[in-house]
Amino acid sequence: MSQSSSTPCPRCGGPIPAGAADQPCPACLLSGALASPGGSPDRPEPAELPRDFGGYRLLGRLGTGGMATVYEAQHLATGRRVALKMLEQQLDSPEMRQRFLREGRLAASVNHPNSLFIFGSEEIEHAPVITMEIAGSGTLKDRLKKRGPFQVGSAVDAILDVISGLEAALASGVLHRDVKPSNCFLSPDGSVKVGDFGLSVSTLARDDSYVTATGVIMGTPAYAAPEQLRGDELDVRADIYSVGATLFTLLTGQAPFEGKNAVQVVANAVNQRPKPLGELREGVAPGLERVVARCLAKEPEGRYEDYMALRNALLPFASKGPEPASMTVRAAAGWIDYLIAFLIPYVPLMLAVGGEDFHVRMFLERTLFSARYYLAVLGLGFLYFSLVEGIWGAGLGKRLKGLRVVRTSGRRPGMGRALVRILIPFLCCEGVRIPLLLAAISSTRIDDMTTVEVVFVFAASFGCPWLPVLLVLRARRENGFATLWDLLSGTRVVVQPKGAVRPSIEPAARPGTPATGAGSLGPYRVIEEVVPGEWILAADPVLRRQVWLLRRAASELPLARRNLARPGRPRWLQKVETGEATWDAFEATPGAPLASLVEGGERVPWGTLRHWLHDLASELWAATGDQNLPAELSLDHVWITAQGTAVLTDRAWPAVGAPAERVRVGDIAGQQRFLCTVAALVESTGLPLHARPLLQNLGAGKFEKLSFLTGILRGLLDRPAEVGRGIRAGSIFMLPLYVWVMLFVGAYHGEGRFVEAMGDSAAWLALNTILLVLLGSALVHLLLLPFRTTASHPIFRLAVVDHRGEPAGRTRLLVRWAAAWLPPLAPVAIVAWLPEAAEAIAFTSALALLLLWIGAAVHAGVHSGRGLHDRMAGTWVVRR
Amino acid sequence: MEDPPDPRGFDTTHWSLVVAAGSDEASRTRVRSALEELCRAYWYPLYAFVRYRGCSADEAQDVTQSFFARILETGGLAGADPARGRFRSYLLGAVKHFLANEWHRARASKRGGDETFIEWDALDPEARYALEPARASDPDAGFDRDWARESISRAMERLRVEARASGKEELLDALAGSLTGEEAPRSETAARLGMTEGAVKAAVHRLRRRFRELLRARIAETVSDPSDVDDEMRHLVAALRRG
Repeated sequence: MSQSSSTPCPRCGGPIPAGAADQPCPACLLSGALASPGGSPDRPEPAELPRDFGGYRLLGRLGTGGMATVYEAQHLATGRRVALKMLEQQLDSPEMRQRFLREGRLAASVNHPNSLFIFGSEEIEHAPVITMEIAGSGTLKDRLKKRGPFQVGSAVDAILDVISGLEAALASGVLHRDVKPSNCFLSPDGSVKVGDFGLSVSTLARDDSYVTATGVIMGTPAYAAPEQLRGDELDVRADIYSVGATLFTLLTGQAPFEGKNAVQVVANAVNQRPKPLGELREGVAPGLERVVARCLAKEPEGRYEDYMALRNALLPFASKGPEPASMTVRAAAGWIDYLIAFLIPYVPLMLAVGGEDFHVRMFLERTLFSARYYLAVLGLGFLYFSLVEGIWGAGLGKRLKGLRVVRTSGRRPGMGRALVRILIPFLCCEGVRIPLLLAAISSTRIDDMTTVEVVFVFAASFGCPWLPVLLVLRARRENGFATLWDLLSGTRVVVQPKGAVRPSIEPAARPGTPATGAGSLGPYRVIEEVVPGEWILAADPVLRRQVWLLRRAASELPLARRNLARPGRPRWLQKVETGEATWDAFEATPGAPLASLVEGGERVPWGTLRHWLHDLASELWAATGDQNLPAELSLDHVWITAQGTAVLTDRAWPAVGAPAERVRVGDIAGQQRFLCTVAALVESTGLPLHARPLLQNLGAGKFEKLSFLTGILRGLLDRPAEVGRGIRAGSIFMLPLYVWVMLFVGAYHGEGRFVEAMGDSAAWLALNTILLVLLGSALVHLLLLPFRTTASHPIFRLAVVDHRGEPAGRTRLLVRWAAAWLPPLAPVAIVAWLPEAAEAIAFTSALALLLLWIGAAVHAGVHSGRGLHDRMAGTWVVRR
Repeated sequence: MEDPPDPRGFDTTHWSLVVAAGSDEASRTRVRSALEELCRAYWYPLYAFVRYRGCSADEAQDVTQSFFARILETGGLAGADPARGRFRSYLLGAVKHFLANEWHRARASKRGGDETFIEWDALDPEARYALEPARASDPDAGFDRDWARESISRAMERLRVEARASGKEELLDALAGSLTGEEAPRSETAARLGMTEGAVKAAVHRLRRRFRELLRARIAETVSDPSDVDDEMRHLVAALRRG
C-alpha cells in the first residue's frame, strides 16, 4: 500500500495528512490548547514581569504546581508583600474553582507560626486567586539544591517546625497529604512553615465530600505513603510517613525511593525497603536512623502514632543538644534503679535462705560457694543495668525521671559500657567493704566478736556505700556532670528532651455562623457586634473563617502593623470601607478573652500560665522593636486561643464587670507591671518553688531587658509544673517500704531478742515491723522538721507550701506532722498497752487503724497536691 | 474513557495506579483494565510504527496483537526501560525491545497469537495507514506524530459526543476551526449561524476551554507528573510541525 503525501498547514507550516485536509491542523489545535482561551498566554512569563494584576503588582514567579502558579506580588494599596496563587486558566472550570478555594479554606483554618498564613481569596480578571503569606527565603528544596544536604541538627530542627505546623493543621482537622521539601518554606529567621495545602483533606465531615474519591493516587510518589499510593484511606500516619521521607531527603539529598520515573518510584515505595540512612550519610546517629526508618514503615501501624511521639523521638537529635542531668535527679533515678536491680532478687532469696546463709556464711567459710547467694544477687543486678541501660538507654528509674544514658557521640551505650558504668561504683563500695569485713570477722564464731569489732563491722557496712559519692565530686555542669564511671565508660546521663505540651482551652461559646438575614460588611457577613458600632465579629464566607472588624478611629494603621506576622498578635487582613466608616479586618482566632477565663476569681495553674506569660513577654519584647503596641494594655487585651496561645489584641475586649486596670507599656518598667498583672492570676498554692524567684523579680521590676525574662521562661516551660501521682506516691511510700522490706526479710529467718519481741508469727512480724518503720519515719520527719524538709522530698523534688505559696513555716509543719503521724502511732499504743490475753483484739484493732492510715496515705498519693493532713494543716505540696 | 476529566487526573497517572496496586485479585483486575484502556487508545501509533519498521500488514497486526498481549500478561513492565515516566516513551521503548528480542521467539512458539485483543476487521488499520505521509528516515518521530494525532482525535471525539448530547453538533462543526486559535471573521460566523457576535465569542471561548480540558486530561493520563503535561504537549507540537 502506498503512502500519500501531505499538504502544509497555511498557518504553522506543519504537515496536514492528505485525508484530513478539511480538518483543523493538528499542530495548531495542540498549540491552541497550550495557550489560554483569550489567545494570550495565561501565565505571565518572567520576562513580562513585573506587571499589574488587579490590585497587585506581580513581581516574579515563585513556582508552578499541578494546578496553579504562584507569584510574588505586592498589594498596591497596602504595600504588603504576598504570595499570590492563581489557578491555571486552562484548568478553570466550576469544579476546579471549588477545589482551588477548598485549598484556601483548609489552609485558612490553620493558624500557626509554622504554617503559611492565608490572607484572603478574591477573583481578579476572572481568575480565582488566593493571597498568602510569603515566607521569603525559598523552600527546603531550594536550600537543598543550593547548599546540599543539611547538617543533622538543622535538618531535625526544620522537621520539628514542620511537625508543629502539621500538628496545628491536624488540630483544625486538616490532613496535608503532600508534605515534601518543596512544600516547606523557609522564613528569614530560619523557621520553617508548611504550605501548599493543595491536596489536603479535612478530617472532619464538615467539608465537601468530593475529595474522597477512592482509587486515585495523589501526592508526590517519592514522598507519599504506600497506602496513599494505593489509594487507601489515610490518617495522620500518612503525613508522618511524608515527614520521615522529607527528613531523609534533607539528610541525604535524595528521596528515600528514587527511580527513573514515577512508575519505578511508586513500585519501589510500595515494595522495597528504603536504603539505610547510614549508608548515604555519615554521622547520622543510629537512633535518628531508627526514627526515620520507623516513619517510613510500609504499614501505618509500624509508624509513630502521633506528632507528639515523633517530636519526642526527634528532639534528642535537634541542634540544641540534650541537657546533662543534674546530680540530684540522677541520684533519685539511680536509687530507684538500684532498688529494682538488687532488691527484687534479694528479697525472695533472703526469705528463702535467711540472713545467716546469705550474709554471714561467706565471711566465715570464705569460699566462692558460700558467697553464691551474694554473687547471684549481684549478677542479676548487673544484668539488669547492662540490659536496660545498654540497650534501651534507661532503666525504670531513669525513665521515670526522664533521663537517658548515651555515649558521648549520642549513641546508645551498649551492654559493655553499661556494665562498666555499674561496676565502677559497685567495686568502689564493695571492693572496700568486703576486705574490711573479711578482716574484721576473723573468728569462726560470730558471737565472739568484741564490741570494737562489731562497731567496725557496722561502720564498714554503712559507711562504704557512701564511697561512690567521692567519684562524683568531679562532676560539674561544664563537663556535663561527668562522674568517674561516666568518664571511664565514655557515657553521659542526659535529660530526655520532651516537647512542652501547651494546655489548650475551650473556646468561648459564640455563634459560629452568621444568622440568616445578617448584614454584610464588605466581603464579610456579620455574626455579632462585640462592641456596638466599633468591633464586629464576622465570617469570611469564602474561606469560612471568622474575622474581627474594628472600626478605624482616625488614621491609617501603620504599615508595620499591617504587615505584622507574629503569633502574639492577630493578623491584619484588609481594609473594608463602607459609606460612613472604615474598618480594619483582623483574623479572629477561636478562643476566649483571658478575663472570661479568670472570672469570679478563678486561678490559672502555673503549667498553663507560664506559656501565656512567655507568649506575652515574647510579644512585648518583639514589639519594642517596631512600636506596634497600643500605648496602654490591660488584661482585657489578652485573648487566649483554643490552642492555648496568648495573643494581644489591638483593643480591649469589652469587660463584663469593671474594666481591668490599664498599664502604660511604653517602657520596660510598664511592660513588667503589665506582665505582673497577668502573673498575679497564678494559682499560688500550686506554684513550683523554682518559679517563685522569677515572679518575685518580675514583681520588683528587676529585669533590664524582656529578653532575659523570656529566656528564663523558656527554660521553665519544660520543667515539671505539677506534682504527679507517681511522684507523690513515691515520696510517701518508697523509703518506708524499702526500710520495711529490708527489716522484714532480715528478721524473717532470724533469731534473737529483737525477732522474739516482734512476735512469733509472720503476721505479727509484718505488723510489728511496719509499726516500727512508721515510728522510725515519724521520728526522722520530726528530726528533719527544723530544716523544713523530709527524707524523701529532696529525692522527689517536692516542697510543702502554705496558702500564699511560700514554703510553710515550722509551726505549720509541726501541725502537718502531727496530722500525718499521730494516727499511726495509735496502733503502736494499742499493741503495747493491751494485755497479752487480748492479743487478737490488739492485732485486729492495730491492723484496722493501720489500714485506715495507709488509706489516707493512698488518698494523699491520688490527690497529689493535697492529702488529708495537708488539708488539716493548711498546706499544699508543690514541685521544688 | 468517557468519564468527564477528573481533576485528580492531573495529580496521577493510570500508570502509577497500575504499579501501585497490590497483589490481590481485585487490583490485578484493575491493573489489567487500566492497561487495556491505555493500549486500546493508542494501538494505531504502534501499528504504524511497526509498519514503518518494514513489517507487512499481516505481520504488523500480529506484532501489535502479541505485543499488547505480552504487556497485559506481564503487568506492563516487561524488560523495557520506561524512560522519563511517559506512557508514550515507554510504549515506544517497549515495542522496540519486543521487536528486537521477543517477537521472533513468540512467533516461533506461536505464543500470544491466540488472543484477539484488537479486532482488526473493525478497525481497518491499512485504510488509515494509507493516508500516512511518507516518512523519510525517523520512525520514532512518526510515532510521536501519530501519537499526538491520536490524543487530539480522542479529545475531539469526546467533544463531539458532548456536543451531540447537548444538541450542538452543528455549532461544533462551524466553530471547530477556531480551536486552533485562529478564528474566521466573527461577523460571518454569526450571520451564518444566526447568532449575535457576542454569543459566538462566548461559544468559541467555551469550546476552546472544554477542548483544552479534554485534551489535557487525555495527555495527563500518559504522564507521571502533572507538571509534565505542558512539556509533553510542547513535545507533541514540535513532532507535528517537523512533519
